[in-house]
Amino acid sequence: MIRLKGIEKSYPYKGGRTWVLRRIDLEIAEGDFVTITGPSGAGKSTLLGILGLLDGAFDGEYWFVDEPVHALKPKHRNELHKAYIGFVFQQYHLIDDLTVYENLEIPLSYRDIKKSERQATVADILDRFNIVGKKDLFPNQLSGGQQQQVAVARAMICQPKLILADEPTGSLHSSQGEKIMQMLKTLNDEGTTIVQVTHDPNVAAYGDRQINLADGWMVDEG
Amino acid sequence: METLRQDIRFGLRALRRNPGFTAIALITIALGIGVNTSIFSVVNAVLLRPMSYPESGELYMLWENQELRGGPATEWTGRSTFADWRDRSETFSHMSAVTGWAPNLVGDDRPTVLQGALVNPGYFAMLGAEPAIGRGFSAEEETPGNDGVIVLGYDLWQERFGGDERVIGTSLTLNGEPNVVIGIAPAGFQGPILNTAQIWGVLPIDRSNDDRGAYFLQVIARARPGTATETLEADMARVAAGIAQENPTDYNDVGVTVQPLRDAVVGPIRTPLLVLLGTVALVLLIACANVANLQLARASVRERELAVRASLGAGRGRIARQLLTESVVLAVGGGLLGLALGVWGTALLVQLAPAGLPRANEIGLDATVFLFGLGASVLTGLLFGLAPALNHVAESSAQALREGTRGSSTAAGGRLRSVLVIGELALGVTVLVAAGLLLRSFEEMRNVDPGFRVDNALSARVLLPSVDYPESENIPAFIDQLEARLRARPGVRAVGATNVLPLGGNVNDVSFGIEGRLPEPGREPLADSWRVTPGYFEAMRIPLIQGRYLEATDRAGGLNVAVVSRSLADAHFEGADPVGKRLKVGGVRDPDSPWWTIVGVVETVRTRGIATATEPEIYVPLAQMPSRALSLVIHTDGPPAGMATDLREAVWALDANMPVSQVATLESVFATSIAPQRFISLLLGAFAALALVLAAVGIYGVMAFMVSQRTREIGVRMALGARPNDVLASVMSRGLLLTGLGVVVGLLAAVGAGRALSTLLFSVSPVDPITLVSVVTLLSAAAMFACYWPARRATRVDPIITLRAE
Repeated sequence: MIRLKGIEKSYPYKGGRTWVLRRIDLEIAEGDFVTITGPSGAGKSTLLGILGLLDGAFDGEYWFVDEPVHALKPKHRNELHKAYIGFVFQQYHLIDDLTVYENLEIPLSYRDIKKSERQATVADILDRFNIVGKKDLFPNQLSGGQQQQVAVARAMICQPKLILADEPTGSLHSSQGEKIMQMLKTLNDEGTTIVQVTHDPNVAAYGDRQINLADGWMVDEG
Repeated sequence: METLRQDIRFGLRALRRNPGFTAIALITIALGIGVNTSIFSVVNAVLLRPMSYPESGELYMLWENQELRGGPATEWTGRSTFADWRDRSETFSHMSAVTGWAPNLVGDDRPTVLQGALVNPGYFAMLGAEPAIGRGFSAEEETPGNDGVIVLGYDLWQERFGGDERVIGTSLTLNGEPNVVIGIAPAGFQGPILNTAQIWGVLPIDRSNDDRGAYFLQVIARARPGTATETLEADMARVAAGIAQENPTDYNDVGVTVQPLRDAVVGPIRTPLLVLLGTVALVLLIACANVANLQLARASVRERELAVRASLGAGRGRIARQLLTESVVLAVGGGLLGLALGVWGTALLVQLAPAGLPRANEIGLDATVFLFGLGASVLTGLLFGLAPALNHVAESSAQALREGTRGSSTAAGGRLRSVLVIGELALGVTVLVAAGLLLRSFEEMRNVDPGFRVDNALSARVLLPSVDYPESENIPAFIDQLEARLRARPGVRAVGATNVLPLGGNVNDVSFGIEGRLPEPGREPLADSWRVTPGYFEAMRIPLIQGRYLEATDRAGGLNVAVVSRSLADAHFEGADPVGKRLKVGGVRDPDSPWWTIVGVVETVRTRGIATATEPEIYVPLAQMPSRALSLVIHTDGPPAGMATDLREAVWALDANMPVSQVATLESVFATSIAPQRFISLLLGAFAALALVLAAVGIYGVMAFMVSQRTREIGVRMALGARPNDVLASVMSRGLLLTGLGVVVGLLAAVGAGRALSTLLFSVSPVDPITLVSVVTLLSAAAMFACYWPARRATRVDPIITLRAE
């Protein structure tokens, strides 16, 4: 599904460059559950941004479902992103002004899905994640765990082939974190590819494979 | 459509959740749209809308073109010339002369003066306004003796006659003579000129009496359908050549200017209105920049949300569209408030507008104005929404997501905000300079010495009809008695009378010739002439420079005497003493025309307007050249308003049927004469104040935002030992830099604006240093004041709290 070859990312700085990622070579197959770990500043989130097709400014080759991302125009990259990828963030990143229902609906609306179909899909996912009773609440009326639950539901709503999770339990206490990780594991068991970034060894253990980054280099893969 | 609805719904919700931002943005937009709607409603009615007459494009005004004789291109004309134009032209279907008429109406109530106009048969048909009841004037009624017929204005008919149709055929006593009412003008009808007329009479044409060289008629004509202006001009050139051939002395080198009616009516007001429209457009731009800055600040706080949207699949175009939609929703909301403000503003403008503003009755909000307001709002929304939308497109969503929830301010966003604030300060300078120049002009105008004193003086108009005062000798006798009565009243210092009051909008210009050096035929100089009583100079306090004033002994039958102005003496006697010299006033070549001996020279009076160059001026005794229409002037010890009752009583004691009209202090006559300039200066002043406040709010917003973004940095600096003054200086210097750049750009733009205004300026240079320095000082002070508060807040940052929060 994913093939990275010599991926590098840097910023110009005082006449030279600051490197964030160096010569990353990586393959992820469909159905994998990959954990990226490493200290702060190692380049984990940058790599996740590139994998998620949010950041197109890198050197090297990135093949995603056999499409050469490195050669795609932003519009095409965005189409690909819309078709395949869902995101889960540490800070949940629900949109404050939208209700739970609307937060779930918005990815569908960005994909120009008809209203009746959207209603059915949102109803289905509300049911599946057991949050029907919360649908008219705004994010600030939910606990952290509930917000992350909605965020995972939102990431799932377009049935992405790939879920990218950036510290998905970072802001949750352990029991809530465990619940979220169980959800991700279930999704993975159902066939969704998952790539997560985490510091937490317990959370990392959910993955089948672990990749360690340090100073932008991939130092270890297991 | 569905997504648009969704964007609008979310936009509205976001606005509701940010009431502070929403309120400030709505007020700013409403003010911008409100002033634009108000001014546009005037521009629309006066300049843009076709005149309210059918096929108004076929209507023209015809003028004597005297340019070849060194005169104006748009000179009025007299009866003989008008009659020739009408009879000989082949390209006009209708033609009518128009002249002012203020008949005395005597009825059950106190006698009153009506505002009316004398016109020719076909006048109403020409304007497509056949009388609602009765008929217009017939050709036969133009013959002297048959002209005792009138058409009443609809409102006058309603007010004075209760809308009774039986008034048709009845007789009204006007100026002591019977006049038969033959028609009622349609409701709402106003003539294109003399638009306050409420009664129309016939202008009699006597072909046997040649009045070539008289200029008291304006001529309106309707071209035959489909005739090009060039064809009309060629036709009238042929007519003028024929008249010149027959009247080589009086009419050589006189052509005809053919001018579209609308240009003639609204021409003088076009530039001031366009200046006002330009100014409010600049104010709207400042408002736009302000809201754009607010939006940018808000967008930077919303960066995380926008990045999330991107991560959920929203393309950049989609996000830009959502930001624009939100801006347009905000702008339309502000626009609707602005339209409401515009309704009020328009009514206020009509109320404040100086008398005589053409087409003032047509000013109001119609579909065009509404569409303009709405269009301007949408455009405003797109303008101020574009900056954050474009700025967002330049952002990386991955970066924004990583930067977390705090919100971040990119360098590009900061630059854009700075550019916007520099832009609005520059626009502010431009508007302030424009307003400053006009206010300075107005002040200069107010300080002009009109040649007479306006304090403690009251004036009033009376008319002595020929029916009651058949012999011209009766007129001086009446005036003598009236002046004597008024002089006897306590508190009266001097009383005089004149046929034309200066600055009242009327002039009486005649050709003149000095004995021994009569000019070439057709090259006679013109002078403003007055017929006055001896007390006039004292009542007006016009200084005597040489010789003597007119005296009570200067009576009919005695030596014809005249007093001339300094301007005439300077221009025509080149330092020689004019006293004792003789001149002819009118009929320069007529051997029967009398010589007038100059007995004195007085200070020049600004007759035609404070801002208008003075002409040579000649005063002759009313006793030697009587006039039936007179303005009385009473100079009093104290405030003159209380004298109005005494004045009326004195007139009615001598003649109970004589109306006393236009009772006004000379101060108000003076104020009325500069009312248009006052109106425009006041409006520009108000717009400039608005621009100043908006610009100050703009720079305040940017500085406050900058301080909030730099709170952590400021905390660190203070933890490292920076003193409050260092922080204050750091923030203020940034504000000073932005202000300085804005002022420099604004001054460059203001030089251009000043040039565009030059035709409206009086005694003030377009680059008037006092104005420029004042504006720079004022704007800088306002900007510094606006920067001070965020800067002060910055000095109060507690480093411990700030850093712990991080």
